[in-house]
Amino acid sequence: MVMDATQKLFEDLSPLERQKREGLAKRKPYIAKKFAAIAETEANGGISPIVRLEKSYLCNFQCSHCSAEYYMDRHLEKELKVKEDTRRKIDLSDIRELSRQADELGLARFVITGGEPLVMKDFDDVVEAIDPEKHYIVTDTNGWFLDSKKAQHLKEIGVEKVQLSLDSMIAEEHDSFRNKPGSYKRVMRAIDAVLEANLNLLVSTVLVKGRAKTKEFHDLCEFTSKRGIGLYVSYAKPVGTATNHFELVIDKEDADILRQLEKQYQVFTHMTPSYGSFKGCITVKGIITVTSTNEVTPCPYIDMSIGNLWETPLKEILERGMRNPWLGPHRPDCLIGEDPKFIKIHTDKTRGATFLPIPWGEGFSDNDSLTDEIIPQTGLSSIPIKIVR
Amino acid sequence: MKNISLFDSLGRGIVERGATGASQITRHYFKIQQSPIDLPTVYRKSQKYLGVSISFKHFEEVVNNIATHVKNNPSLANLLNGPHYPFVLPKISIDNLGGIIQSIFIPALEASYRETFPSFDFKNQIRQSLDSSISILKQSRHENIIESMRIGEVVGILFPALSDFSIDASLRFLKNLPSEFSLTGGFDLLAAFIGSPAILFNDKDYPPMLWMSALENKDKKFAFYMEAYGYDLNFNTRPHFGSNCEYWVNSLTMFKEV
Repeated sequence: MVMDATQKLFEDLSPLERQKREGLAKRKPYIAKKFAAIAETEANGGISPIVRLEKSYLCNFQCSHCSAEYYMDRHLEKELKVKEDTRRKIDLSDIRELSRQADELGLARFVITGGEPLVMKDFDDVVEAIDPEKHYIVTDTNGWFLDSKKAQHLKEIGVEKVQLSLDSMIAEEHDSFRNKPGSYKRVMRAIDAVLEANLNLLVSTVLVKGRAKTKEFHDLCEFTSKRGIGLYVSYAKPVGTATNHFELVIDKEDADILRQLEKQYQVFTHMTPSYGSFKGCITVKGIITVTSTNEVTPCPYIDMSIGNLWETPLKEILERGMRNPWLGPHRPDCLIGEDPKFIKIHTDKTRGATFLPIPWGEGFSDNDSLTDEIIPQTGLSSIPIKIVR
Repeated sequence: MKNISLFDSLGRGIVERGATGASQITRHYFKIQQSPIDLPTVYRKSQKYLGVSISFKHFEEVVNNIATHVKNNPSLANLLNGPHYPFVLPKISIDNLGGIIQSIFIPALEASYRETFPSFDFKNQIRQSLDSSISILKQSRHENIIESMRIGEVVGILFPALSDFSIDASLRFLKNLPSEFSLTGGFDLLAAFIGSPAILFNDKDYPPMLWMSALENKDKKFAFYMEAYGYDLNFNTRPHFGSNCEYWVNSLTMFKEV
């Protein structure tokens, strides 16, 4: 069954994707080998999450809604009156150590994010510290600085893929959301630049309530599919500057409409089955985020930590995450985007926090439970769920 | 038989204090949205797609007998508060569980699903042949259904009652139940879906995933299951590692040979 899973994974690849994988195998055989091992790893109970790295939250935009805004210095200064953030921040040696630990565990993918990664002065150093021969490196970007020269440069230093944000196919709407006139045009320029440089490309967009039914969204699906570009759709979440904006949160109908659109267009969410893997929500199992203070969060949008890498090895942090009853078990829906109980817990625990993420033990802990009822016969609280492996 | 109910007010198996592999309390977050049972449609689809020859009157009588038997037993009655689906299985000698599932039951379900939901899809996500790669899980009592199918048609009711139970915990729970109950396998689950394709259709809440608990894969880490993906329905396999979680449900079958 394990060999069959691996074979099925290869059979599921489109001709173009198979070509890309074969190209990667020739250029970076070590990474390709790690990719090929993922199906077997998962079949044996292991995980191989993508590592998102938030070394800096500097950004040249101030979008209407941003999940990273509360991590930014400008928010700390302006809103929380914090004159100086004296917390220890990760440096290149920490990134090299993270890369080493991740590689030891068989992890194969890093995403450089922020903020806006392309404003980072040491972006090239970060890529080098991760090591593009050991890990498949992706960068997020709003596209403002991504012209042909930049795209070529990214390719030369070993970046494999770009994830480019586009909030609407209507230029004025995108510009308005980004609070930056001209940003839509820059995204279109960036698309051409990335494809010309022969980098892999995903366009990423956010699904707010009702958007899946709009012509604009269908136009976006059509635009990206026609150009052979995958459209990665993230559900709107009540986090960051969208906290308390529950009117944006999707319902099941929105999610199911999108699932039907997956059959027509090259569009997917983080819960879409891919390469034979039916993970559902990918907290810890499919993705983690390492913040600028070396905290590890289980998802880009959950502001509660499962451990700090200066205190706890990555392996232990991942095990901790997988045994958490909210994060480890298989589920088909987006935890922070769709589960009302978890959304409330998250909102309550992060409300008023000066520094995010909330540390391990104060947000998530080994005492977490999906239910908090008392068992009538004994008066004891419910037994925490254990994942038996 | 004890008079204490084995099932809670929502029809879920009650987990004994200290039991492992099952959560004592569950949120019931993942929901099966049961519509009123449409017995004529269940019968018609079973006739059309599985070729059963039992009369509707006899089918209805046996289903009602099973339901009455459950209702009159205080330890079982709560089962009827939870979702439950009647089914009928054809008379067939099963020498190759995987082969029969793949060649007869899966195509039958695909056709029945398309008839009910012409805009949506049933997908068999398992590409490889299941020939001779499936066996019956020991102590599941599923061999009783297989033997009954060899002799005649089988009428039963499926009860997705063991949410947040592992397969092992479900086997332990089964020991409390009378011999007419078995852990649900492939044929009973698939027959229930053929008669009622909308079991996992839920446009408001997310439905759970239903294991074919009594079927064992050649690679014992993997088990088979039915899962909704939006409005579509998938037949698939994945490793379970002996775990339980609120998304996973094991089912019970009560049946009679006719």
